Amino acid sequence: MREFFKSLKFKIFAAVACLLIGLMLRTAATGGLPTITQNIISTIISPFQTASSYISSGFSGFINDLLNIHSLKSENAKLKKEISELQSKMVDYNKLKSENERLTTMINITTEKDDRVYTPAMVISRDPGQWFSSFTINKGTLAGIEKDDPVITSEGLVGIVVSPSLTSSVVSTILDPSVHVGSIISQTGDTGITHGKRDLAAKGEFQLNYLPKNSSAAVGDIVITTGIGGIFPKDLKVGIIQKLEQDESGNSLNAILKPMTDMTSVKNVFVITDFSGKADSSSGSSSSTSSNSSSAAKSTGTSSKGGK
Amino acid sequence: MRRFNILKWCVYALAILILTVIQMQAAFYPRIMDCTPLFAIPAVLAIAMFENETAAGIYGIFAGLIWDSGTGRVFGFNALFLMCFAIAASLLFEYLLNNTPLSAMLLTAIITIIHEIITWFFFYFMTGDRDFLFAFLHIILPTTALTLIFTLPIYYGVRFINQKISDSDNDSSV
Repeated sequence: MREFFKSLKFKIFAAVACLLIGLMLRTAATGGLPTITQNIISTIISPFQTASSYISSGFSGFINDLLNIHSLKSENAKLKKEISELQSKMVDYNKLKSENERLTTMINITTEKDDRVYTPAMVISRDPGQWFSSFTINKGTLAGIEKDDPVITSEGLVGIVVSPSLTSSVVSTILDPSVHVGSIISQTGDTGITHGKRDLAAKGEFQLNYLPKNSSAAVGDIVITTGIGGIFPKDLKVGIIQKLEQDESGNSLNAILKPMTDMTSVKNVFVITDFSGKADSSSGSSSSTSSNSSSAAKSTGTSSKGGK
Repeated sequence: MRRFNILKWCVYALAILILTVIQMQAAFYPRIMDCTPLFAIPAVLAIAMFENETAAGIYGIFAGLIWDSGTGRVFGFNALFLMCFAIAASLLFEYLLNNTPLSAMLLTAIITIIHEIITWFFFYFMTGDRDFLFAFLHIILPTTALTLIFTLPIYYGVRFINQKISDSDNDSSV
């Protein structure tokens, strides 16, 4: 065994270990921005991950269909009923819409234009284990994706891009303790900051902190983004309140939230690459010089980044 | 002989690539308490048991870099970890331990637990989350148990590749 430690092989491995430590330090120092090595490997691996993702979703879809055939039948009947109800509501909707347009023109209200730029993407892999609520999507910087871009589904906010490579990007979900989102309860107007907690993430939940002690928030209220800070656009649905509890200090309330999307089964997402009031990327990168400041930058979805 | 060696290295590389990519696909395997198995650890360990420390180290780096490319944490962490443990395991099996399925399972359990504890220490303990008991019961143990379930098939798979290609090599030499 001693011969190995005196050999050239050992010296080469020691040099490689130093190189890997250097890579780790660099990634930590840049707050998740990928190195050239990571870009190359991600680009090579990405097609395999995509293929594997197609196979796994096809396989799980087939098994789920087989297992849930009865519930699918009843769901189908329920949806048909809902469609007929919605169709009758559409008549009222069209009437109200034209009335709204007429009144809007009368009093000269200008409506806010949706200027968000969406990039559709597919989840191609997930971080194994349960330490980190993150996954990889099949779009990267070549598709215009940048660090800190919000990731959503049609239901609501999913997470944030933490490490974009050329052809793929790693997304941390809102269940991750490092992701902080400035949020507001749509029913009451109370503001707070959401972030993940490991024990809650195990149940697919996360937390909304710093609510006023006298908040009238209730179970079932919907939490949306404030848009302050320029990381997340305004009015994205973040989650639904499941439970309210006093903070340990007794000065504020905490709410336990369920995200709008099931993070374990999400397959298709949209990355918002641009929106009105987005913090400019130069200020974003300057505030992401370490992993700590990176999470601080994320939390400035509420505070320190340029305001909307 | 050289042709069979190249074939063996390529088959190992393909196996590592497939297993490491699959470990990031939740639909392929069972989940216990929302945890998933870590295929890369038993795969690299099995190669380390049948090959020398150089091959073990190289495949450890290879598997680790693929794993790192799919995670949002510091790049190089898994590559460094797997390289060190693959070399150590290879040396252990060369000089001290017997190459048996039981020793593969034992070492996989030890390496998985160490990997998970290091992950907890650097990414949770250092950031203020000190609840080790919760992490141990809800993440470390289920992940290790799931990884152990897949250790034997991976061990026998690598042994099959090793023996099959060595046999073909011997036949061609005769």
